[in-house]
Amino acid sequence: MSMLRGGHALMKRVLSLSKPDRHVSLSVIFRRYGSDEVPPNYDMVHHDGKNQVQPLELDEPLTPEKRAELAAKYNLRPEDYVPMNDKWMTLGDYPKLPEENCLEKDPYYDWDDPALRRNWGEPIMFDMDQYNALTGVDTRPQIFTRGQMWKILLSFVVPCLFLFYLGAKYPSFLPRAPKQYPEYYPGDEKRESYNDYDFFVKRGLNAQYRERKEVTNYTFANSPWGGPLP
Amino acid sequence: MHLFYLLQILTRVCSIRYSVRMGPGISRYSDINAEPLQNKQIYEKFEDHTRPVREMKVTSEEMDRARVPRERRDYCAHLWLGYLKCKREWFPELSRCDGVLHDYKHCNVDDIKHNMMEYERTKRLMARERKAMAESMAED
Repeated sequence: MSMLRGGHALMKRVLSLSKPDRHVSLSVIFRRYGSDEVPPNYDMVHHDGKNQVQPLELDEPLTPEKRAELAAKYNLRPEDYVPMNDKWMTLGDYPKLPEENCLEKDPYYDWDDPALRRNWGEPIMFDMDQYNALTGVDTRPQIFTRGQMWKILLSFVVPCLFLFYLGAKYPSFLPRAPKQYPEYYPGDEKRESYNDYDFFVKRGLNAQYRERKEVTNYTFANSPWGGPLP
Repeated sequence: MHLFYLLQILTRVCSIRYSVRMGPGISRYSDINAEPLQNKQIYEKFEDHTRPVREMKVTSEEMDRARVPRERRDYCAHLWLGYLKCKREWFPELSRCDGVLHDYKHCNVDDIKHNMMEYERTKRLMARERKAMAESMAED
């Protein structure tokens, strides 16, 4: 609601962004919503020349001076600096940071950016979107490792499926006569035979097994029990 | 091979029945010779031709034209064909055919009841025959 009250002043500031000669940063507009005073040019970052990512040869060994120089460029300690040169796609002297999600960092520390758990000037991972707190994969350690989880799952699912298999193979129901059909195919008996190994014969595809005959069956209509079917 | 067993599980869920009869629920018989089980010769022996004939409401030629599979060529085929017709008319609103499928499933259940009554009838006639045999042997 307070935004509507200061609407005119806000609009003037927003529109002034489109004018290139007037230098305005977003922190000026949203200043009233933030408790910290951000330093000037906080979000106006301009890299050129050597400050940008430069290619790095794979064959040349990394001298200590060069290592210190590149580590300073990325705000890292020299012993922590590892260039991304052993990937299938070399990225020059961009540093290789530990592949851990932002969520693995201390949640109770006073980060400059608590949503991403990052301080100002900290180097950003190349795969930041994959290890982001908001959009990335959660790499925090869990109760069970992957191998343990697979074992727990399969130790339940496989016996369950085995029981389904047994239930299908050995069903249990009250005794009943064989099902009655109005047609008789000699091939039906062939299909259930165990002596034939030739699939053509076993499936009853020979002409002699395909001729069908009519069969008469009888009902319980006139019996004292009655019958479900007429 | 394993697809065959998977098919068995699926078809049981979909209310289709086979020509193969699996074992009954009795594991211990008081006398196994007194049970007809699946022997067709015993059922043919005690067949009573004076009973009314079980009628088919659909001819074999109609079933051939509709390419009905072997398992569904039974005495409930007229309802199955009605269900296929309803599906063809109303696809994709298949819930409209639930009434027709309900009747088909009831027909299948009635068929099972009929088979159970046949079993019991045959068993009782066998017992009567064995009793008569035993009495005639005792007389001699």
